[in-house]
Amino acid sequence: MKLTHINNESGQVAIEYILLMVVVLGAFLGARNLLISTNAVGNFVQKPWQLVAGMIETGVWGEPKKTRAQHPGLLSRHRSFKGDGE
Amino acid sequence: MIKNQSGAIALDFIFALVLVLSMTLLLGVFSFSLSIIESVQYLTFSSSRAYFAGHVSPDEQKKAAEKKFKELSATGSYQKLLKKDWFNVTLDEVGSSRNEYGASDERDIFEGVRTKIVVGLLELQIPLFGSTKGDNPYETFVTSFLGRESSAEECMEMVNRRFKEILNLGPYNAGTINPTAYVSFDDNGC
Repeated sequence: MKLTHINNESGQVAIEYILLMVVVLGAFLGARNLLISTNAVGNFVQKPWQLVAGMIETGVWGEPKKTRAQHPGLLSRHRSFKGDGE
Repeated sequence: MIKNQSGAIALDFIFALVLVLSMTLLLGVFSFSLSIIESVQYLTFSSSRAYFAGHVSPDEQKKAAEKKFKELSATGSYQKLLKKDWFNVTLDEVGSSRNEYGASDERDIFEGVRTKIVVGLLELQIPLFGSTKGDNPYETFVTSFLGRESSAEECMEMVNRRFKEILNLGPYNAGTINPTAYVSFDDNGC
């Protein structure tokens, strides 16, 4: 029986591209799953929002729960409830 | 051989496009939310001003603030912009918010209106990257603590109490004054 050589090599590149596509898609899906599992997008918006929420409510950059104790209404001031002459 | 490589960049492009569009959308939503919150600040201030003004009783002052808030919320642009799923704006407190801020000194004024805003618009589902939802809801409080004028009811209580205390003073306590012969009235307010 006579052996025949495969002279047509055009299919090799296609297989290589498929392998590359699997690697690239795998990396993409892995990165996507990592972003979703760590809630990266949520944290990306949540953390600045907390600072902004503190500024809106109390006028101080920081989480509202922490900055409520720094509300300007708590600043010490001098005021008398007694009338004149007392 | 596949010689045409023009599609090789497509995946990169789609990825970058989604990312850039999402960031743009987030920035837009953030700016829009801040503008609405600024408008709600006026809503709160106006309600606080209605609460501040003197009235028959503290309850009526509270009702005046609630009425002002309700009226303004249903007026003009507020009616269009304050959609519950985008911006849920509610009156959180009309009166004293001293406990929320841990105020112990009587000179600390936390008397006014506190409005709660839940920004549902910031809870976005970004394709490929996930949701912006986090552990805490996107909520904040807008406050306006102007104080409160005394009401007519409180004025009369003070006038009556003062009359009793005058009667209890030494020179007037000889039994010569008939307390029922007098009528209490406020002279130009408290």
